[in-house]
Amino acid sequence: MKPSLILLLLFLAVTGTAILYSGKFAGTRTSIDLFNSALSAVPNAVSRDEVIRFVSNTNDPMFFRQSQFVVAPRMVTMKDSLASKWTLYVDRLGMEKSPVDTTVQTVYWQKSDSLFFYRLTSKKSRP
Amino acid sequence: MPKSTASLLLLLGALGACSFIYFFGILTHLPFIMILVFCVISIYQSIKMLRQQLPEVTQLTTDKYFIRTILLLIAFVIIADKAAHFSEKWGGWDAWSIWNLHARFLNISDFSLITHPAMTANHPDYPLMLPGIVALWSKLAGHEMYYVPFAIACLFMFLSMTLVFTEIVHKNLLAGLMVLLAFAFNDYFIIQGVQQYADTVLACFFTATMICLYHYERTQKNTFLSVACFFAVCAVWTKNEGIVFALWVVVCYLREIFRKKNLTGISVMVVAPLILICIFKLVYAAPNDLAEQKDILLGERLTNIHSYQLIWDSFCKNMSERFLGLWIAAGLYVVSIFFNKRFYNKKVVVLLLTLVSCQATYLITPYNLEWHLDTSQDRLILQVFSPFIYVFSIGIADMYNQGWFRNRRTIQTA
Repeated sequence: MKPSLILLLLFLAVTGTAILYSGKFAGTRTSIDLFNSALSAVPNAVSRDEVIRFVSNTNDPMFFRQSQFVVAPRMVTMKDSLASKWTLYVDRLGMEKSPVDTTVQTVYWQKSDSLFFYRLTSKKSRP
Repeated sequence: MPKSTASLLLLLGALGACSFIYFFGILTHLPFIMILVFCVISIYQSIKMLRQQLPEVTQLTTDKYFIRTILLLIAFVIIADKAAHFSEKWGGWDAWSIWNLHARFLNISDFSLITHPAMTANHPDYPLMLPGIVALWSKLAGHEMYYVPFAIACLFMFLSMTLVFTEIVHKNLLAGLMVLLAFAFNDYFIIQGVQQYADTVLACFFTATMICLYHYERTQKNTFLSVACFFAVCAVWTKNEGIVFALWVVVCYLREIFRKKNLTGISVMVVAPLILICIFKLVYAAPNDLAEQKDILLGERLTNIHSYQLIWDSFCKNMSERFLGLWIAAGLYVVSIFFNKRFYNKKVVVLLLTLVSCQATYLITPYNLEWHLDTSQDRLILQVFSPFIYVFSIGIADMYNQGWFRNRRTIQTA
């Protein structure tokens, strides 16, 4: 078999599968997507101290349910790459990766007294 | 070696080399454009070098050309359809909490955050082959897109099957068809393929190593041994199980590897990647959760018969539920070696030792054994699924082609 033909078939197979995959999930939003959106909405000007206070002050039950996966406050005391820390935070928080319509309904950032809070509301309670 | 296999191995090697180069670029703070230039130069040089040597070691097979292409195409369509069906957005748990998360960190300036204590649950000691490839392509794509890691996972899944197929079909069309059936109708292989885990990647590098070792044993060309060693090092850079595999390759092929005429070629292929792996493991990676256990009662754990029983039961369950094709291939192979009286096959020994050694980690696991077996043993078997299918089917095809089965039939008929 010609190498070029094999490589072409392989390329077509991968591209075709990726197209099927992206088509399947077009418009579908998981909690990771929501958190990623929330992440992009965080103002760049947010300071390190605010992040620390956010992590330590929040009292959302869902937050604490997954608190073992949430970045520890000491994490955000590291300098630089604030965005990456938020990324980590968001990734860890999205551990359950549940479909939007069953559990996580909205997630947004709210500025209040210079602290950033997030809210998660559930359509139905978790077991 | 068929030219088609050589081209697939070149593609796989290029992916591996790009991951190493990307990590080198991150370490040395090279601009991304320079990383790309290095990747292109190294791939170009590899093609050039192999082109000089390949004419003597590869051949173009043109017989039954059409039917082979059609068979492969059908298998691709079946797998693509199933892959899309089984896939989930952002991949499986480990994909987005370990592999793709590490890829995200390789995309930012301070990749050492991977090893931060807060990341303990995310296995910061895991090597960076898959994250490196994902990060490189995500950066090329401009921003993080959920189908980039999926496409890469699919590429490795298709590569695993195609590598074995192109090797076997050139020996025997029926054996090639059986290989396609073993892959295309193994739903577990496809499910794991689209989960975006590193196990399929590891299986791919194991298979590539086995292919090169097979051709080395047949031709004694040291190019094959050097490339096999490079793929074994790529396996080390993919998952920690790769270290076990590479060690067994070295042990079983010790005499060949350290032969004077082979040593230079092997050094050229493996020294630089090994240095990068050592830098990562010694400077950046956190200790492995199995290795850093304190107060481990090793004697007590090793003599616990109940653990052995649990591991064996779970192994049998996984094999019968998920790898029936492997059982069948192994059975056919055992029958054929008994008829042929060729009992020793180094490649089978390497794979068996790797599988057994990896199972041994369950004896010293700090976690609940049943949970640990439930969450990972099937993937350990998956890692050796495609290389085993390769060594079994090529062994059977070789014995068939040498006419032994036919002779026996002739004798019986007479």
